[in-house]
Amino acid sequence: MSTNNTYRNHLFYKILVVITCFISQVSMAQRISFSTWTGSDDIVLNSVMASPELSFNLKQPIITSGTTVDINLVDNQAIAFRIEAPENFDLTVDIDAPMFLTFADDPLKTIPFQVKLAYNNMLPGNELAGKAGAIELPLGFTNVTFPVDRRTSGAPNPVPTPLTGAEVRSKSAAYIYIYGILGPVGTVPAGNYMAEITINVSFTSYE
Amino acid sequence: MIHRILLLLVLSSCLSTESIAQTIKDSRKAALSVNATATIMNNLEMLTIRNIDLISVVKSKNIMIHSMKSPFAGLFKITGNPNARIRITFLQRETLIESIEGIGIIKAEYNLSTAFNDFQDQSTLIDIGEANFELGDEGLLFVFVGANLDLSAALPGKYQSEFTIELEYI
Repeated sequence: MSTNNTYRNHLFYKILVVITCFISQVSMAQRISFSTWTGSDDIVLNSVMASPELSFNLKQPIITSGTTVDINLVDNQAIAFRIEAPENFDLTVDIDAPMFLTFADDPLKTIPFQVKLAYNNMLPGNELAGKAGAIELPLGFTNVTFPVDRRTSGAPNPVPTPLTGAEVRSKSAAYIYIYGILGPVGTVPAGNYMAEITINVSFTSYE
Repeated sequence: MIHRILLLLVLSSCLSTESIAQTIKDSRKAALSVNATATIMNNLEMLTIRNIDLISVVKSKNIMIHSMKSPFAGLFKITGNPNARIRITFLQRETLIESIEGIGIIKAEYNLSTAFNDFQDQSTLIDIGEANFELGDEGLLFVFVGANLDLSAALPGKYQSEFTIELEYI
């Protein structure tokens, strides 16, 4: 009788252990996104221009009511950035820009603004050469994921191994371009209008 | 004994759920901010097409250049928003004092006339210092400038005029 009781107790605890293990299994799982393992290498985001600013007045010096100013990718006024990152990784570029340029003196006075984004990950020599083969995102899209260096053919390489010791992973450079459309300018007071565009570049995580 | 061990196992597996879970957060990111800017202007422009020609006028005690009739009148072209109303204000009378010795005096009186196109004869005279006008369908207005200069008190020397004309939307 007592043996039977002990056995039941054992069974109860065993089941409890098994259940607990099942419950906790999800959180115990350990996942590592290999894309984040780039060793000590970071993403370097540099402007290729001395003072990057998307200035619509450079495209059209006199902007008045009723006009629309369109800075295209091919225009000199499009601003370019160089992203240096370890090869074989995917980058996510996210542009955060308001829908309006705001008047400095009165935040309620605005001009419509649409930001546009293009990228080139085919190892162009410089930003000007990169404009030729750049891939433009459709209007309204501000987020894109692309490999630092695009393969021209073949299957993707195996997952990069973690670095050991003083190993240095070779880097590649991709370019991104920011441009956009201003307007149509409504009945707004004359003056300076501004918006801040934030560019975020990160390794893509598939977690 | 077995009870205790099993209980310990249960407890430890419960406790360890937090500590074992391990995620590698990606802290390597790059961010940069740039500005998009635009400077908006009121599109009211004035272009000088012709200056007032005083040299060609016959020298006498008075120089009369009528803005509607004289071929020596100056001409401005104003461009702006089509059919917008603008106010023209200008300096009507001015006394010019000889700039070096300050003795000689020229009295100047300016007159303006405006038209939607470059026909001086059809222009409308503005004989007071202010007038409201509507820019035409093309957003154009031509302004002819004349002057009456009284040289009776003038001595040889250098005279400088600052004729001012102001335009604004109303």
